[in-house]
Amino acid sequence: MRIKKLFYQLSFYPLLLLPFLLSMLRTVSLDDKNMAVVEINHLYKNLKGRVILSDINLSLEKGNAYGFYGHNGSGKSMLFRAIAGLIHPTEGTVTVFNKKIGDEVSFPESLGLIIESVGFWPYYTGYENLKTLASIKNIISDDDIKHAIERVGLDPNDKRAYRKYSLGMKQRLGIAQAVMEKPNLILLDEPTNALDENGVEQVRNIIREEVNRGAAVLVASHNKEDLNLLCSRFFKMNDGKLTETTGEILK
Amino acid sequence: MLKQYFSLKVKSRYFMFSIFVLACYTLLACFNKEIIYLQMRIYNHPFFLANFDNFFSSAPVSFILCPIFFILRKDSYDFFGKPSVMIRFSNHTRWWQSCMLVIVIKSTMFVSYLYLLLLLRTLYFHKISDTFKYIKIIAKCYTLQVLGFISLALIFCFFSFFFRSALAGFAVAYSFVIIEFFLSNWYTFGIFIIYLIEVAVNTLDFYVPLLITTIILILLFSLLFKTILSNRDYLKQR
Repeated sequence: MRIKKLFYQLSFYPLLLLPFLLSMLRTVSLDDKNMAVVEINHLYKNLKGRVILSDINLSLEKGNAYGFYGHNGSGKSMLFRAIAGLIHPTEGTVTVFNKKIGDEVSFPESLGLIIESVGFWPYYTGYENLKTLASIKNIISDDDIKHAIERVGLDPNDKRAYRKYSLGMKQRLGIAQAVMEKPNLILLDEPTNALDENGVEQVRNIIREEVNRGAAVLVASHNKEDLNLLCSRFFKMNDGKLTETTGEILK
Repeated sequence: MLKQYFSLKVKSRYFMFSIFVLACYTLLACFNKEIIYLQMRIYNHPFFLANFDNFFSSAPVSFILCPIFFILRKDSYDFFGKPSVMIRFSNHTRWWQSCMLVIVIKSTMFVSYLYLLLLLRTLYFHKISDTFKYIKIIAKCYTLQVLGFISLALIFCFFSFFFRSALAGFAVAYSFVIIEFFLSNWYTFGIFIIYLIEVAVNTLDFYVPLLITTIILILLFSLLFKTILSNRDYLKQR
């Protein structure tokens, strides 16, 4: 009888741990929210004796859009390439989702990107192109692919080959491939290039939706209006150097 | 991924063109039997083996089969060389392994198609029953030829990715073929790759050493190429 009573008393002790466990859960979710998606420390990149990126330091969180601007050749695309793991730093580190690029992983695990032209296969339809890309990770269904095409204002049942697409349609398909797998990090280099007014608005909406979903979206653009409307932080690239600027300066 | 990749490839114009050119090449001997009889007289071979030697003789291998093979390889570069494809593999090792798998499958399919054409030509000359008589020789040649095309594809693949240009990959890999062609014709010795592809029936005495050496070299170069490519920057595609 005494043993039974003792057992009942002991069974209540774990309840005392409940507040502590709850606080732990809260800490984890807060940490997760504030977790740096991209962390760059003292990044340098030299190519053929020329400094392309110089002492870049950056910390970006999820659920935000970040604007990058600067003249042609200032290093915006190179910075995106470094984040994507497509170029190797001469010095410094790029960490994405807590994994060092080129060390722990070659490319970020959940990444969507447009850098230069996406270069789809010219003789296949838009749907076939996206299906081929999606088959590598194989994490989305055919319906998801069709939905991604519809999101950018294209018809998934369009039987025309990609080479017959207009420049604007090609750009839209590029956006669709970047977001179709719902990546947590999206790098968009000049996403509104070649788009008409309607297309620009659609792409802006997609970027807003992706940010609301929790993705970190990095946008490089010459169009300051796009950056002002979409981004919460702005960065200016000048001769490979990165400086954070305010919205007022941009306007 | 492979299923999707190959199903799209079948629709490619390059693929259709290559299939057509190889079929035309096979038909040539049907219209001019003398080229096979000439082979019979020179090497003192029975018709079946003369037909085989003729199909894989050094000139057509260097100037028809290899260029067609490179045309078929171009699609792979177009696929694996894109940044949107590379980043989806998450790491270089997986990317390179998929590249290598496609190289092996394509080389095997290419040689199998050549053998199908060869068999059709044999059938046309009513010598198909001899196939079973020489099945061991055919199997050995088939294996070496697959390895030969894998070696060629590996060189093409590496230099295409290294220079970010399929044309550069073609130039380097094809220069190996051309150099071997001239060396084997002027100095009567092959270096390696063409020696494997235009494998003459009477050179099968070296089958086992050739097989082992080739497999080891393919594995070593595959590792070396993977290491070099994973440390190379991906700049603009040419």
